[in-house]
Amino acid sequence: MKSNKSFPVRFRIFIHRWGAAYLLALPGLVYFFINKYIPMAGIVVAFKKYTVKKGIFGSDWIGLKNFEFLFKSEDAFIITRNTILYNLIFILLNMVIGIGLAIIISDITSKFARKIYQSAVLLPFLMSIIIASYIVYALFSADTGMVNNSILKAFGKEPVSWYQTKAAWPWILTITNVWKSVGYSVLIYIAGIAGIDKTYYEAAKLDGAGRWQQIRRITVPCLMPTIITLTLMNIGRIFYSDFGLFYQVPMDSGMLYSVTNVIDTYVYRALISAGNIGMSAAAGFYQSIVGFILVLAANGVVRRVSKENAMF
Amino acid sequence: MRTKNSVMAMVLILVMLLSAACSGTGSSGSQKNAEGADTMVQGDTKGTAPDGGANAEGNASVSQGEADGSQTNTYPCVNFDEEPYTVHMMYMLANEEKDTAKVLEKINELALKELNMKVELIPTTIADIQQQSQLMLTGGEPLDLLPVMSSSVSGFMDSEFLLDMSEYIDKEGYNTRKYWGDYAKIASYNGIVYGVPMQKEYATPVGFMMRRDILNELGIDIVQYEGKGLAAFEEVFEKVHEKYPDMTVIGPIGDLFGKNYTVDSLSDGFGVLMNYGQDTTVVNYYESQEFADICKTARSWYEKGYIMKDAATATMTGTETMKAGNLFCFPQCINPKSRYAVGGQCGYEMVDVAIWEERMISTDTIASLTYSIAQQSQDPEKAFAFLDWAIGSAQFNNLLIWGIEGEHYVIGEDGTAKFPEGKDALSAGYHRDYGFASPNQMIAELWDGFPANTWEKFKAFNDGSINSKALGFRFDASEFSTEIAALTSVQSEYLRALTSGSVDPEKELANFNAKLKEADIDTVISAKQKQLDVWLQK
Repeated sequence: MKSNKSFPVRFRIFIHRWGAAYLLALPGLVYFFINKYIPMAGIVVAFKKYTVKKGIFGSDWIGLKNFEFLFKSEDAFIITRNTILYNLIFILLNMVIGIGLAIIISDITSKFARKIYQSAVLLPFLMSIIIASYIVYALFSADTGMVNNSILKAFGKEPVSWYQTKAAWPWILTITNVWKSVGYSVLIYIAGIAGIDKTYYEAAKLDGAGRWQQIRRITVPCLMPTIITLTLMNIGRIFYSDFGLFYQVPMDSGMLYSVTNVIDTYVYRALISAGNIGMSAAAGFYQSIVGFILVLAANGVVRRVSKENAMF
Repeated sequence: MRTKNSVMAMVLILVMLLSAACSGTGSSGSQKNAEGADTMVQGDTKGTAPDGGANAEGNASVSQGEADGSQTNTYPCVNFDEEPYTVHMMYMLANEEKDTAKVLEKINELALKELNMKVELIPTTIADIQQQSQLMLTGGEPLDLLPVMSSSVSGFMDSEFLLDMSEYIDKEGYNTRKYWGDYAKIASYNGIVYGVPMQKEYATPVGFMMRRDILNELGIDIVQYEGKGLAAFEEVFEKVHEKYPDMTVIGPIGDLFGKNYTVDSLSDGFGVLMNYGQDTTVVNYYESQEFADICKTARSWYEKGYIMKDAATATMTGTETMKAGNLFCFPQCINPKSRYAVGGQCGYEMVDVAIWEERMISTDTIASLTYSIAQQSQDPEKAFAFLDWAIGSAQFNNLLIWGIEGEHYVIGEDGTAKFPEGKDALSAGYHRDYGFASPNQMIAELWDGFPANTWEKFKAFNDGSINSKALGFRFDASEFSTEIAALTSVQSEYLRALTSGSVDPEKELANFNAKLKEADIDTVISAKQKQLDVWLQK
């Protein structure tokens, strides 16, 4: 279409039109290039027997040998399963509970009370996972924990060694995660709700819509872009599971590994003593690939359902 | 609105990711390491050897004739005309001391005078050493000498992080050869001498640290139980439990019952030599009757309520738990001064009693901590000269361990070092007290409260130990890193839970062994056997 103009002319028009925008984006692009794109070259280490002297590019190629340890036993299946299932549950619960709390908090008329509730929900999110893990420990410690000493005793039940009981941990971890991180999604959803035009609600009320109908027909549809963006981002991070939650909160108890081991903790445990850079890189690479596939898949689903909300 | 929201979400998520990543990995790593290494600290923190004044001991005749400690001695073959080389030396400490800069200045003065070198000290804690040394070695920051734990060796050597010291020890290792004799090159891997061990006990037998007041009260003569094996202690624990039903009898166990103190674990415990390393057939320790018995004993103690219920996951060390009160004993690696050291730290008079009959010296126990030369050293020869000098210099070790004489410590009438009037460990300004992590604690001053013959006792302790048949052998694991990584993960799942009695060995021990098999422990065992056979032939 523009073929009748020469390249320098087109270039000048382009600069004139978009130059300021690109200039504005420049710091961000440089940041991404340095921190995200340059290190990608390091991926080759995953396929090499790395030694310092030979360096990243000089080390010998060993093919897929670094990946073998991941698939050495049934662990690969367990950790992949744990990672995906836990995160799906976390994403779902954080979304549902987050939206619910956000709607409730938005409906509070007293500004002061609203701030209080908002902060109270957010507080655990700001807490270090170490502190959270000790709060859980204070509840479930076999010797001194509150559950064993106050609750179970009151009902005349035998104490349980929680940190050796596998069945309890999917629940404990899920509840801990929701308690700890829901405040953050609540914050975002409250911001989303605040942005919804009030006239929609007034119109709905005039038409006789009840509270529930308002939520279903106005609030949730208006929040959709936020929900989809958040969910997509969370899915992309599925393979970077919350290390602190899975490592600190169960106190690294060996007997719980089959229900608490996720890819991060597995790699950490296997490599902390060996310190093999090639294998660490291989595990990181595996994480990225599966994460990438998940993002593409999730985005594909979104595009099918509502094209305008898809990221690309 | 949509874009605004997603941008905000992006920013928030980024922040969240970063903070989660930092807080998560950083602290968990250090916590874990701290726990593992602590037993070592407890056993070894106090005490050093007299030099000059009370030099009664036999093994450490004072080097270079430093009879009164003030005389300067130049190290052999020093060229004082050239520009002084700056050695970057990593060292371990509990926490940064206020007067470190002052002490460093004194060390520099000394090194410049005797050796024509300068030194830059890089502090690290036991908790961080693994990570920090890995980072510095990979990143190529200036580093010459660093402490290396036995457990890191195969990883570091596979990445070629450490330099061969063999030639230097032969040519210029005056003090290394003098203090280490036949063991000067014990820390080797695949034919490469990667380090010189720090002077401490050669064997690391495990024992119980018990409160003397309770033993006396119950009239228990603990000596008769010494070396009778784990199950023999049942009588003692039963009596204590009966008398003090609310007291925890046995504190944090860590992996002390499970680590192979009656066998030579051949660096990783996957395939060991039974019977204190006197057998030469590599077998799977976790399938042995000995290990099954330990698990069974621990389980029965756990069920009887002797062992604390959280033993498998406890992050507090034995000493800390003891200090907090309501504990009778805890296991740890013992040496001739552990009872004084631990007693001082917990505030109770303690008795140490060995569980197993024999003490074994193996490659892992004698070279548990070494000083090594980093691959990026600008001048490895000079770095080695500095280390060798440090091994022989009482003044250097005194400065590093206790600080400056007259300021951070004084020599009492009995010839031992103590705090100056009105000072204590906190107010002294410098009191590193990490003798075991110093080149040679045995030629430095001995701290107040330790018997004058402490180092003689160490010698007797070492002489009375038996040598594993594989002493000096180190498994070359470079071809088996896949298997080792998988095995390590299985081990961490089961070992602590089994040896603390937290789970039923009837069921879980079989699971443990099945998983080890699945992770190819047999491949590692047969490879070890092959390498050992070749080594034994030499």
